Amino acid sequence: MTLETLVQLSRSRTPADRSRVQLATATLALSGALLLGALRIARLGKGDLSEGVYSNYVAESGLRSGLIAILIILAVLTGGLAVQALRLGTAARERRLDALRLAGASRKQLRQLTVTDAAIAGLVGGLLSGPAYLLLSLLFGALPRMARILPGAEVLDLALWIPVVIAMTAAGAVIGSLLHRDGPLPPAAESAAHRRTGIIAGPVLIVLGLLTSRYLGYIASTIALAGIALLFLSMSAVWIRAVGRRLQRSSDPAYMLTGLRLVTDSRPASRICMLLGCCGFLAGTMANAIAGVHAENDRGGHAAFYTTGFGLTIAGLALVALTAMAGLIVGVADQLVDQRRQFASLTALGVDLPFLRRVIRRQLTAVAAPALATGLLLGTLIGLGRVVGGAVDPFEPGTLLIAVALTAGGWVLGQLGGTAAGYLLRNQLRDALDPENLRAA
Amino acid sequence: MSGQPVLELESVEYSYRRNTALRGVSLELKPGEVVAVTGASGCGKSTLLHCAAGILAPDAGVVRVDGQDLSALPEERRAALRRTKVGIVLQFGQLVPDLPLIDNVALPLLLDGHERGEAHVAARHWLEQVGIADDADAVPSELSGGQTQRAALARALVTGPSVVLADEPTGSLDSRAGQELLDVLLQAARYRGAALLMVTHDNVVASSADREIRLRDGLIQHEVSLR
Amino acid sequence: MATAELVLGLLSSGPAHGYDVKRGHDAWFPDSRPLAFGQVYTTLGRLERDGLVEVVDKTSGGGPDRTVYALTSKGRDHLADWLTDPVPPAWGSADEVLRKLVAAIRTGGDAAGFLARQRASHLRRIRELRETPADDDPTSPLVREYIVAHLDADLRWLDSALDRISEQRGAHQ
Ligand SMILES: Nc1ncnc2c1ncn2[C@@H]1O[C@H](COP(=O)(O)OP(=O)(O)OP(=O)(O)O)[C@@H](O)[C@H]1O
Ligand SMILES: [Mg+2]
Repeated sequence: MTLETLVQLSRSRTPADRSRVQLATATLALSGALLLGALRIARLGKGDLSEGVYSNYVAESGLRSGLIAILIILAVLTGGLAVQALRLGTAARERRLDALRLAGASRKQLRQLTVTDAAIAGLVGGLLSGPAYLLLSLLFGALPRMARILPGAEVLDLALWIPVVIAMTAAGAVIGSLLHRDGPLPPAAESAAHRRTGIIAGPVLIVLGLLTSRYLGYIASTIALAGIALLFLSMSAVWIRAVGRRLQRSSDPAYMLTGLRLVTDSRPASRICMLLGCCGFLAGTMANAIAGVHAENDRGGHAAFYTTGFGLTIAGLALVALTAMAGLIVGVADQLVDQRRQFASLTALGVDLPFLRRVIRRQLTAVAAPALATGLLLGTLIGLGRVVGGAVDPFEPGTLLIAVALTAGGWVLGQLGGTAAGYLLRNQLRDALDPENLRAA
Repeated sequence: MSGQPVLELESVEYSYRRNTALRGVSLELKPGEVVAVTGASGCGKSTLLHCAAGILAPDAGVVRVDGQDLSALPEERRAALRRTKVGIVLQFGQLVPDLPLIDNVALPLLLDGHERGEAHVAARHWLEQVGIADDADAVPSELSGGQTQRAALARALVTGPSVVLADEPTGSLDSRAGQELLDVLLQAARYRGAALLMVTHDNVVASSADREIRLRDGLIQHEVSLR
Repeated sequence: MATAELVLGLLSSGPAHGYDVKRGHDAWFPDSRPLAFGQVYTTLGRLERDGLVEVVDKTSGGGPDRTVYALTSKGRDHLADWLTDPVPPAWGSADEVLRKLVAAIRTGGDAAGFLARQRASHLRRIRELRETPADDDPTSPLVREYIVAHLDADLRWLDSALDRISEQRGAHQ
């Protein structure tokens, strides 16, 4: 295979694939921008800086390293979204790979194609990360001093951009190589045993993490978070299959199709569910901490400081959650493209656009609303102190109130997301219902 | 019709998760030989073809192409062998959906490391042979079933394979167009001395073979010479 | 017409009167024209002359309807040969194919083998017709296409007959 062939074949031109790659590129650009931010702050050196110019988070050397760590974590989280994005459209992508295999492509060549595709997304993302950082720093520069956590870019930062571009390209290649599977994936991959393990191991890890957080610090927090992720992943798989089964029993062909889709491939939905759940959980802990700070009067003078920190973190998490939702929507969109034949035959049976929109909304909200709500509930109830091993205040009845409010909010947000998706996808839905699709392969 | 067989199957067995599709099928194709595989729907014809092409790995038995046991080769070599020695035309969905026809047909050459321009020359030649040169820049979704099948045939022939495996090569065509395409296939096979194994429900297609192999329930029911 | 071979087939299960032969034939082909008595006796007479059947019993009354016929070993061989050979595919040969098939099944012959050979014979004929270069004659391609279409129809029937026979055999096992 020549290089030209490699590049040409790696870039799929189907609309579904294009939106998948665009989403991955965008998230990698954001990830790169966050990384640039971390590098930019690291470049400030070790000493304390003037609190008149910089936000306290940047000025105080102790907090600065924390900020760098947070930016890197956010970069990794958004990188995780790129993984999600590249995973979308599995059915169509595998059909394409099958066709290439049939034309005589070897496994190695197919792997090269996937890796090249993802690496190009990384390269473009890395190149876009510079302008993205510029934009972000301008945006933060306009905020009150405490929130100016991204120092403005300088010419010298061009030198930081180069390693970021390289890093993002490499990250893309690694993601592509990790995601690539040699054969068609075995349908039994997501077995009941796996789910059961997750449901048991998840809570065990959470409890373990919470109990040891005093002594193990961040290691314990990581364990607890891993437990949460595992629990969400396996619970959402169970939940999604249950929803799918119920829909499948419906006498309505459109619901039956939706149900079938959820049951046969619950993986993308449950991964997004996990991501949303974790975002909800972290946002919940932050909310809990904000409530804690406000309850304590002796820290009153620093309220702005804490609130800014927590607020920014929540904003970051909201960003991740929104992108996760976007991923979910794109996923549904390419399922639509994938199954446009079935949908088109539904038109023949008299299914119309508003009805299909309801079905899609239902499919999305069934995933997003419970995940966000549960995450927020757990996060608020458990609280930041327990997770990171700080001082744990006795349980306040007020927290319960916040928890309930946040849970309801999460639920509403999930519902809103589903509705928004139904609206955003209206054109795809109309296309999917177009009887002309009956001709398409 | 002499020389070493270009394709050999020895007691090939294959089961899908629930169904057993092949229960021990043996056959041999000499260079230049044309064999028709017939039988009722679901008797295992396509499965047989997929095993012969190395797309499916048999549960038991041996498949040899040009004397080389497919299962004994490393994957890379197997793919290369399939690319250069075996041309495949399947029943459905074999084209890469987002590539224009010309690239789809050139694909085996491109994957083999040929330059794009050179590969396109060969691809265009075969598109002309099968009568769809005008659609070279169309993507598969813009084609009729018959045109798709012609393109698939062009792709199967572009590398000058020693075995061509075709699953219902004329299935989506009317009888006249079917016969035209069949003639292209037969000529290409005879001209190059390639062996041709075709699955078909069409008696006119089957009649052009040297031998008929009829499957029933995953076994060879009978094998008769048509010469 | 293969009435002679059919009569041999009817006698293959054991000696019989001319009357039984006629009844047997009409039972084998209930949808066809019944066999005339006169034709039965002339055929039996010719077969006896050729040594393919022999008279094994003659009742005192002496009339032709009192005579019992049986297959000779030569007659048995002749029948077997007939059942083995496919019918040259020609216009109107289907009757003959049907006759052989029914006879093969009824006499316990290799019906599936016969059908396979018959398929091959039909397929060969189609190829011959297809490979004959088209001349300027305006009607011969038409005639050829007509014949191919009919052979194709026969082949479809041969196909389903093969499946049916294999199914029956499968069911008996
Ligand atoms: N992917 C699959 N999974 C499970 N069973 C399969 C699969 N593909 C085929 N089968 C089964 O294997 C048997 C043989 O299938 P195959 O496709 O080889 O039949 P075929 O002879 O090509 O039929 P047709 O003439 O209809 O194309 C059938 O009973 C079919 O149900
Ligand atoms: Mg088939």
